[in-house]
Amino acid sequence: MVYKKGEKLISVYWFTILVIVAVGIVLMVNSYYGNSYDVREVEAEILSEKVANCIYFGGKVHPLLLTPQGVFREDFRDNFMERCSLNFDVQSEFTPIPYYVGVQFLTFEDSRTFFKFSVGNNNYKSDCEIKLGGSEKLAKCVEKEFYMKTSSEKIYLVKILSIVGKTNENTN
Amino acid sequence: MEKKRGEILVEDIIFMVLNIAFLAILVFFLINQGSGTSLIEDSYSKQVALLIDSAKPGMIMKVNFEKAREVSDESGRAFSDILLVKDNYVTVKLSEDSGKSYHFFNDINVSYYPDLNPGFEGFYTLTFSRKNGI
Amino acid sequence: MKTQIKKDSKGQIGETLTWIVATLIIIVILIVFIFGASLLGKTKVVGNFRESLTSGKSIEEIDPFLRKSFFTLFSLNSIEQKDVLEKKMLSLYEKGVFEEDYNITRMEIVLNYNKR
Repeated sequence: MVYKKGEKLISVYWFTILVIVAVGIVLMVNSYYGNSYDVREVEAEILSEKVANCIYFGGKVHPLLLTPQGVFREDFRDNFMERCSLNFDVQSEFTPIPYYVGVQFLTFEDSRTFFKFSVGNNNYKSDCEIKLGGSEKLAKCVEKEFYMKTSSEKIYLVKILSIVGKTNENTN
Repeated sequence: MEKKRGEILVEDIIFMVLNIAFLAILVFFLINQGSGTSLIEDSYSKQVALLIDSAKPGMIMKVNFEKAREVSDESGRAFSDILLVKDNYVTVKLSEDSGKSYHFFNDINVSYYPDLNPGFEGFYTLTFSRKNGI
Repeated sequence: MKTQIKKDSKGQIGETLTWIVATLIIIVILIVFIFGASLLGKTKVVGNFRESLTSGKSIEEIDPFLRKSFFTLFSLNSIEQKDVLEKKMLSLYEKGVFEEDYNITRMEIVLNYNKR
């Protein structure tokens, strides 16, 4: 009689352990597969490349960026999105714009900011300064730079900061 | 009652059967999770959005949607209805009650259709052109 | 008889403790694995996305920003300016701003430039 009781107890315990392990496996699987793919870094790089190609491609500056005298045009800043084929419009007016692009032109001699402009949601800029663990909930920032030469042989260092928010679609 | 050597008791059989049934259900669940509709929709919508972001007018892209097609066939959704590109959003919908959308920033016209060429069944062709006025 | 019962009791208590400890160990191991799985889940990124969708060929890693800078460098007429620019580019490269190999890219562009 004692033996039977003991065997039944072990069976119940055995299934309890199986259930605990099963719950553990389900949680593991959910925490892995439940996570979305995070593509924001690649997206930010594509954005910065697109902006760079718009400004300077094949060794030529965008025809509407500078006047013939080599002066930066204000209307390029105003119409930047159209000039560079960018569209940041989102479906809902309650959804914040998920991108930010900031472009700076620095002088070659003393790295002074000569001309700059930006478009998009500049609330994301502060996310770039934070470098803590758990930063997947912050926007992804990519900074790129290159040297550009104008037709009047002036050289500028172009710095492009691209930021992609979209935390809901890319994190859990 | 003592156990007799060599005798397989009913309790032992039930115990083993329950264990096997339990493991089978677990494995079935794991396999289903791995090929989840939601995961595939998420992956495709994002990757197509990134392809569109890096496209230039005049480009033609053939995109492999075979994996998505397998899932949509199972759920009964037509292959021509699984991809929607509208208002700068890519939407991949593999069944009636699921779907994932992702925004793209490239201001470009996108035409897309299931590829009918032999050898490209399960592919979508995307063609890109400049938007009017730009 | 009393000694016999005592020995049996000791055995039963020992076995119960073993099960409790075993259960705790199983739970701890599961927690570690669940944590590990969630960390692994966070590393899901789409890198060479073009590869999986469009072709079996691998994509060359090129840095368009370094290449633009090289085009600027080689289009300069002044040797002085070229030297200064090259020094600045090398300095950026050393900071890790550019992703492609500096010297290999330089050679490639020189060759392409000379072909024209």
